[in-house]
Amino acid sequence: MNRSNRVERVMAAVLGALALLVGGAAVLLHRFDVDRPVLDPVVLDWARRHLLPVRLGLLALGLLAVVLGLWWAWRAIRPERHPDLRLDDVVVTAKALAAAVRADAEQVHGVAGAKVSVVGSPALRLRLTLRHGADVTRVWRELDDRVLSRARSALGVDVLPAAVRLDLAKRERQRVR
Amino acid sequence: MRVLLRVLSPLLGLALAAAGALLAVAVVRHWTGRAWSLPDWSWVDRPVLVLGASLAAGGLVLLVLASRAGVAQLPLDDPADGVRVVTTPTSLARVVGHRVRAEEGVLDASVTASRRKVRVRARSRVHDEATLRPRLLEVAQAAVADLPLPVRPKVSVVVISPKDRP
Repeated sequence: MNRSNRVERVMAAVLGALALLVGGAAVLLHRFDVDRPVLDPVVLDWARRHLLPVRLGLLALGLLAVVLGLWWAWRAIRPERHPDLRLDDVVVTAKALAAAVRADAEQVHGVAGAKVSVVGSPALRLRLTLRHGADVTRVWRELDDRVLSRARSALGVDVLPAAVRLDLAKRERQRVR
Repeated sequence: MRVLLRVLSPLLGLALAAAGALLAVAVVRHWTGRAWSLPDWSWVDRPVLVLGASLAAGGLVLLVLASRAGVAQLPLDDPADGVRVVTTPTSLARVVGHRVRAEEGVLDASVTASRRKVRVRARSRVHDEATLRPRLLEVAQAAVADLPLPVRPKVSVVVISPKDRP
């Protein structure tokens, strides 16, 4: 399973909707020949009468946009964290844990390949590719019975958060010779 | 689309931050009596149309990008506390397709699936629709029922056969 891009999608959708609304309104007002200044005198008069709250409001809006924008950019470019786990005096590296879980997952009948990442301490993300015709329900059952329960007992935890995606491989086209 | 969104996201974030900074600086300059002079445009001026149209087009592109960058997912039952399992509509279609193609008399089948519906379109040379459709419907429904899906999609089957041609 890929890293989630939900935040990026929501931010892009909100920004897109705002741009579409403002831009669309400008195009409509132009199209209907509304011959008034863009900085409307009525609005400017009202703003002059409430100068302090308007200034503070706009300043807050600007700073909010700066913070949101920088957070969005930083979130998009930062590499995903794969934290190591500390078990009493032993440190289990994320790579070692992922390799162990992947090896177990690939032993499940019907699984052609597995990608495992440690994305929390402890939390896992698995993407399993199943062979065409694999029994999905059996894989689903064995995934917890054999793979995740083993990881839980090895780590000594009752709950091991995991996000799992099962993908069934394409059927192979048969060639007629 | 996912890659495009990933590439564009830092740029959009920086653009938003820059716009915010510009607004904050403009307010501070106005406050200190050094306000920037703004163009005295009216709504009928051409630059307003150009800017508005560009903004609307950009917004539309962003909306399409945001809506297409997601991966359709079908949640399966959670096998344990904290474990979330999903599959894709394509995988569901492949499960059903595999079972339907294995049926006697089915030459080929195409299956499309979503969270709510599974549509099977089977081709047969030896059976007509009235004979084959009930059996395939049963098989496809059983294939869906076997999966640990919290919400079971509806199944529909169409059989295309030369025997049904007048």
